[in-house]
Formats: sequence, structure tokens, C-alpha cells
Amino acid sequence: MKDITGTLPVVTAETFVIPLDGDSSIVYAPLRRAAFVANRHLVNFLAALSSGEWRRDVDPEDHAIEFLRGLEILDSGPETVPDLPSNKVLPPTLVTLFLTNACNLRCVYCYATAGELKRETMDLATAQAAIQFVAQNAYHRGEKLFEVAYHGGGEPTQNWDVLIGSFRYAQLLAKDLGLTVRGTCATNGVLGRPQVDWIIANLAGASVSCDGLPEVQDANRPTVAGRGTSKILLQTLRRFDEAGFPYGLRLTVLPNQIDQLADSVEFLCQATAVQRIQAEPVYRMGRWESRSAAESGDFVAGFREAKKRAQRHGRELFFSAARVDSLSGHFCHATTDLFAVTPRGSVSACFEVYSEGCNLASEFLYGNLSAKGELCFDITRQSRLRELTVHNIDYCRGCFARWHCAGDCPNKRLAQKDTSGSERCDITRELCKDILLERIRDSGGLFWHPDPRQERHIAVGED
Amino acid sequence: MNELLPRFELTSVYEDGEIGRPELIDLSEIGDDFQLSRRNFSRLTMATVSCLVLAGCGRRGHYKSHKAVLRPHLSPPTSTSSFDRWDFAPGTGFSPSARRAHVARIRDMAFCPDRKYLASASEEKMDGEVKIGGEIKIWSLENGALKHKIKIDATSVHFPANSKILVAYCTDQAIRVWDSGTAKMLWRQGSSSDVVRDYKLSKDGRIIATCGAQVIIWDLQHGRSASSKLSAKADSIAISGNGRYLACIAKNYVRLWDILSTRWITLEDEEEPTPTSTPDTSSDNRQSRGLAFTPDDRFLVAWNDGLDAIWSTEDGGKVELDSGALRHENSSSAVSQATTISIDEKPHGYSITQLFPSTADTSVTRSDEAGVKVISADRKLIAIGNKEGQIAVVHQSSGLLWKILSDPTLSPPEAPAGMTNKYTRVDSYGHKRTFTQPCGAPLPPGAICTCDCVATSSPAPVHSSGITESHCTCNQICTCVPVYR
Repeated sequence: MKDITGTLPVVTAETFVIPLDGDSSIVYAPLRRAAFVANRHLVNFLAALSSGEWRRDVDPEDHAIEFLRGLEILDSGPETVPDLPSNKVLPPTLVTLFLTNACNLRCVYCYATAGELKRETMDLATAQAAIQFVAQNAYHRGEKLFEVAYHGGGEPTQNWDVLIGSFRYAQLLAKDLGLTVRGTCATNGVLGRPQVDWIIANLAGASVSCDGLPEVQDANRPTVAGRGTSKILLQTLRRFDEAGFPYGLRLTVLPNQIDQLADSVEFLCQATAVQRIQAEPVYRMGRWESRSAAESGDFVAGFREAKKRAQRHGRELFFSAARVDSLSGHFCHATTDLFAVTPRGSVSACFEVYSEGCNLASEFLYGNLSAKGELCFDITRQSRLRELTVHNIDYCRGCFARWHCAGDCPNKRLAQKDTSGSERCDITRELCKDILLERIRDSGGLFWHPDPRQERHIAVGED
Repeated sequence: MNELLPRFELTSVYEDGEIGRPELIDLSEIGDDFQLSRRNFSRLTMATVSCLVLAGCGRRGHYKSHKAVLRPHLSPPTSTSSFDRWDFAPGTGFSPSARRAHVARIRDMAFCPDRKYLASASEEKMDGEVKIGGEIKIWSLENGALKHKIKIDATSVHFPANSKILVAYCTDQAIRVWDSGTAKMLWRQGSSSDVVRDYKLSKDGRIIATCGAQVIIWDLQHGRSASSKLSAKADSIAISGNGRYLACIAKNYVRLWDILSTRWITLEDEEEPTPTSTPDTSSDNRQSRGLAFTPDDRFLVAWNDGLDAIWSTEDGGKVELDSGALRHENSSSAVSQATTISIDEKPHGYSITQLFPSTADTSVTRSDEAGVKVISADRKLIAIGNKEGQIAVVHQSSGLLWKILSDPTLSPPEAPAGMTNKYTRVDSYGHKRTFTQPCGAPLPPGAICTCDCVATSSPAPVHSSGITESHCTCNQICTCVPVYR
């Protein structure tokens, strides 16, 4: 169909070119949810259009123009930039309680070096005050639900009395206010049977740390006494499966175990009914701070092989920053006022800042709970946290994955004290590229441009 | 540490001067190892693929229709009408930095029946002690160029059918008529002592009726009275679709004039106005009473705080309505707020709908403080004007932008508070960041415009200060985002 207006088509999408081999490239417009693989002439045709040059001689019938319009890359009005920084933030209705820094395991790579620091445990009054705050917020906002999440630095079940006492309090409060409470926890899964039963009976989901093959799990995640934990962990997962309890697994990959990643994923798919497995190269922090990194091309290769295995079992393997389904300026809730409370009552925006002694506590702790149970917030610090979005990272500006990884973990960015990328960026880009090619192939092989009404979007922090 | 900046922006690749045919590469026949090997791709021509896109093929379970392919990203997915997809507010269609057609709010617009011209009228406002705005502009819809400017403060503009004239109702309560080709005024009706309170154009564009101290029917082309002046005063009038009847309404009476036979038709139960009857001058009362003909012109409908009465136009007989017929979805108080009514013919009778200011029939036009939208008679184009004086013309079928109409003598508007993208600040990393200015404005030295729709940031003449500035040349709806130094 010939263009009837004769006016220069305008590139109205933020468009990226991802080189493949030979003369082919992926052309990707993330905010239009559009991608295709093009030869160099098509890329150059589009690039010329963006420079104001319309090479009609190579596309005399305007087929390329119509195709690009169909994908909303041309002449489609402005794009919506995700999550522009805003100070309009609603009071939280989800509280994360860091119940303790104590742990029954001594994982070789623990980011919190749990068990080595002076023991800190949250008291019931602190937990109740925080829960009351979010419950009242939910009530005043007219919500039907508020949420309580139990998380590290240590193993939350090590402060068991406060865990069950605080959740009982949340349930009673919810009843009084006519609300529903939803509870979740992160756990190492090395639990006694009564604890597992309580979790199944009371909570709505759990994220379980698990490194895969028994020999890997036992080597990486031993008990305080140095014994293996694979057996008891599998018992927990099987109990969850029997009860139909929803959980996800989080698998940490050490550099010398990349070759075993696929086997580990295969093992978990065979031994459990888990649907989603998150695999991450080990973070160089805590006990692994001075050790070698696993963020490498080998990890990408190992991940690809493991993903194929997971897909054969109908399961999903994912990497936290390679989330093509997400278009966001926020990697996590640190930039959207995560309301997490440390054992001593400080308010943290980051799961990795679980106490006042953590690195970057001055950046991520933005409030505290007074002795009277009143919450005070440092608005300046909170505003600064809200600015740690991908919109403000120069390095990411030319990257096609920026709305997916959203600049990756703000804690790690601030820790490395500059805004250039890390090896994780390479992993993110490679895995995003894989997903794009999968999407194009699964959409018929020519292009990907899904109907938004049928898309599944992942909310920030869901991973 | 990864020191290399990722550079994936759209730019030429493998540039060797060879110009070849743009092609897509088909991944459908590639196995799972496509990350590593793509040497055996089959190539399809763009023609095939273009057909696939437009037919909604080439995908599994994603598309359903051509319309879905062309959806604009300007509205929630639930919206189906391109009329609704464009809104007046910045960020929902208009860039705050898009160039302007007028210096003030767009009050009304009209498409020429043959869709060659668009007329737009802006309000007059004070800029300090100077009056600005208050202009009618006529735009060519062949290229979007401004053809004529007429300095007049008009509240509404019309292109009557089958003619080349432009009609405007002005704030001095006069009707003025121009030749749309030359912008020469042909005639006017109304003065300070004889204001026009209401007017209606006939559908065939042949006549216009005005009311005030008296009701007059005019030959629109020549400004001559087309019939004797009717000895009636009225607040509002209506002309039937076939141009045969004229109805007048005042607070105290409704009257029906047969234009063809030049006689009044007596309406049953409607008292003849006494010599002392005068139209009510209170605006509240005027607004609460209205008139309309049914689409087949067989009946005249009056409403006043609810459906008032229906008469046959043939003999003026009043149509009996049972209580069911008078049932309304809305309360009577809501009905009284109706600005107009819409009558559609149905197999079982008529559907009479009150249209409220906020829900006025968006398939035809919408006008409020925020702006105005109009659709062309052939329903191919929609024009949207906003309070910043910006006008966008978009394709009705796809919602895609055709053109931003801009008066080259006007600078872009200042971005509204909170929307500016020009400021400098220090972020959490200690970096000083300078944001771009609106399109058309000089870019700060060293900054680059990343606006996707701008062809180039063209160098401007060297200033007397010796500083060379770059100007964004964008005159389309743009997607400028802040850029950093």
C-alpha cells in the first residue's frame, strides 16, 4: 500500500539494533513490544528514516514502511516511558520483617555472613507495630488485603516465636479491620516438620533457597555443624508439593559449579513439582566478597543448557534481570519505598540492608520505629532512593535491556561506586536476546508484537 | 567491571555503500541452537511480510485483527475508539513542546465537507495588557499548511455543506460569513442592539436561521433574507433535517414554522405567545429548554427539565405519551443539565438520549475547557485541539498521527508546571545532569536531543555571543526524553 500522505515517516519508537552474526540483527522496540530479525539493508533503511532520509528506491511499494507502522515503530505517536520518577507514593500495605540475623546454616557464600555477627532478633512489639502500620494503611486506602513477608539477613524461622506470634497478631488485626492478610517467607527450607506444617497452614507462599544437586547443596549450604542439608530440604519441598503449597526455588551458582547447573535444574525438576526456578551467579559480598565471580560467558552457556532442560519438564528457569515481560524503571522495590523493618526497628528499602551495621545502611535505611511504636521517615533519603531508577543511569541509556533489568540492583550499583555496568549486564543482555529470539520464533518466526491484552506482565519485585 | 558503554541505538550497520532490498529473516525453521547459528535462514520479501502483518498472520495466538496491529499506544488497551485514544493532556497524545497552531485555547474546529480545509477558532486572552489570540485559522489538509488567518474572536465555526463558505458565531453575538478560499468576509448579521442569541444551519447548507429580537431565515451564500422575518422572539431554534420546518422556543412557548408554505403550524396545547411574551433572558432558563426534530422530521421534541412534549410536524397534534415512554435512566435534575439531545430512529420508535457536557457524543465532537475534538464528514480524520493552542490531525481508523498543525510564526508553548524537561540537578551519584529544553528551543551546550521523531538537531546561526546552539527541529508530536551531559 503506497503512503498516501507523502510525508516522511517518523520513527516514533525507541529502537535498538542487536547485532547477530553475518549481516543480520535483531531490531527491537521495547516500549512497543516489537522485535524482528532484519538484514542489514532493513536496519539501514530504518536508520536512514530516523535521520530524515526516506530511501524509497529500495522499498518502492512501501511494504517496509507499512510493516514498521504495523509494529508501531513508525508514525505511532509518543511512547509511554515506564515509571517516571514520582513523589506520589501511597503508604505501604506490605511489610517485610527481618526477624533475625541468626541462621541454622553456614552457607559458603552468605551475603549476610549470618551466624558470625552479634545475634539480633526482632521483638514481638516491633513486629506488631510494623504490621499495624501497614494494616491501617490498607484500611484507610480501602484495600482488602495487606501483606506480611518474613525475610533474612538470617533465617526467619530462627525467631520462630515472633514469626508465629506476629502473624497471629496480623490475622487478628485483619479480622478486626475486615481485611485479609497474606503472609510469605524466604527460607532455607531446613525446617522441622511442625514448622513446615505451620507454614503450609498459614502462609500463602515461600521462596526457598536451594542449590540443586544434593552434593552441590551439601557443599554450599551446610548446617552450623557442617552437615549436609539436601535431605531435610527435599523433605520440606516434598511436604510442600504434597500440600500443593506454592513456592519458588532460588539457586546460587558458584564459578566452579556452572557445569553442574543444568544437572541441578534437571534434578530439581525431577525431584520436586516446583514451577519456577531462579538461577543467579553468586554475589560477591558477605562470605564470598573476595572470591572469584561466576558472572561470565560460561554462566550464560550453562544457563541456556539448564533452561532447555527446565523447558522439557514444562518448568521455567529465569535470571532476575532478564525479564523481557517487564517494562519498568525499577529493578526492585528499593526505589518504590519497600517497607522492611530490621530487628532494631529501622526501616530499610533493601533486602540486603537488613541491619544498621550493613554497608550502605546510610543509603537504604530511611526511617525507624520509635520506642513508642511510632514510625518516622527520612523524606530526603526516601526521595533519593526513588531516584535510583534506570531513568537516571547514563550507562544504560544505549542498552536495549534497560527497561527489563531497570538498571539492575541499586545496592550493587551504589556499592561499586560508579555507574558503569557490570558483568551481570552482559549476562542480562545475552539472556534477554535469547528470549527475544524465542519470542520471534514462537510467534511464527518473522516478528514478535503481542497483543497487550494477552500479555503477561511481571510486576516489579515479583521475581 | 564492564567499562564499555552499551551502544545499541538505531544506527546503520555493516555500512559498505551497498543499497539492497530490506528483508526480514525467518526464524521458524531454526532449531533450538539459534543463539549460535543463523546461517541457514530463509529470507522473505517485505511484501509477503507486510501482508502478514496487515492480515494479522505470522504469529501464534497473539493477534486477532488488523486493528490490533495498528493500535496506538496512547490509551489503555480497553479503549477501542481512536477518537478516545487521543486526549488533550500532555503525555496522552500531545507533547508539551509540540509547536502551536494558536496562542490560546482552541475553542472550536470544523472540517470542510470535502476535507480540503480545517478551520480552527481560538479564544482571545490577555497577555499582560495586550490582547492575543481571538483568531480563526484556515488550514490546508493537503499539506497541513496555514492558508488564512482571520482576526476575530469566534466561539464556533462551520463549513456548511455544498458551499465554499465559512460561518462563525462570534463573541460579539454576531454571525459572520467568509469565502473560505479567499478569507474575504461576505456578510454579517447581528449588532450590539440586535444580537443573535442562537442560530442553526440547514443540513443542505442552503440557509441559516438566526434568532434574537426576531427570527430570520437567511440565504447563506448571499446574506439575503430567504423569507419574511418571523414576528417571533426566541431563545433557541431548530431546523428540520429536510429544511422544511423551523421551530422556535422561548421560556413560555414553542412555535413551528413551515418554511415551504411560510405559515405557522399551531401546536396543540401550546399557547400562542402574547404580545408581552418575551424570551427569557436568564441563561439558566435558556439552557434548560431545547428542541429537536426526529430524524424523519415527522415529530418535534421539546424538553425542559425532562422530556416536555412531542408534536407531529404535519398538523401540530400532540403525541400522547404513556408513562413508560417518559421513563428516564436519569433523574429529572440530571436531565435538566443536558446540553442537547440526540434522537435516533429505531424499529419500534425513537431513542431519545440526553447528552451531558461530560459525555457529549464523542463519535461526532467533543468540546470542553480542555480542548475540542472533531471528526471529518467522511469519518477519515480527527482533529484534536487543546488549551495550549496545539492541533493534531490523526487518522480515524488507526489513531495514527497525520500532522501537527503549526503556525510558523509561533514558538512552542512553555511546558506546564511539573512537565518541564529543562533543569539541572545533582543526582545521588553526584552527577550534574542537564535536561533538554522543549522541542524548538535551543539545546544547552553539549546536550543532545534524543527525540525519536526529530530528523536532525540542526545547527543554528552563530549567536552574537559566539556560542553556537543546536535547535531541535521537531514539529511533530515528539517523544523527547531528558538527556544528560
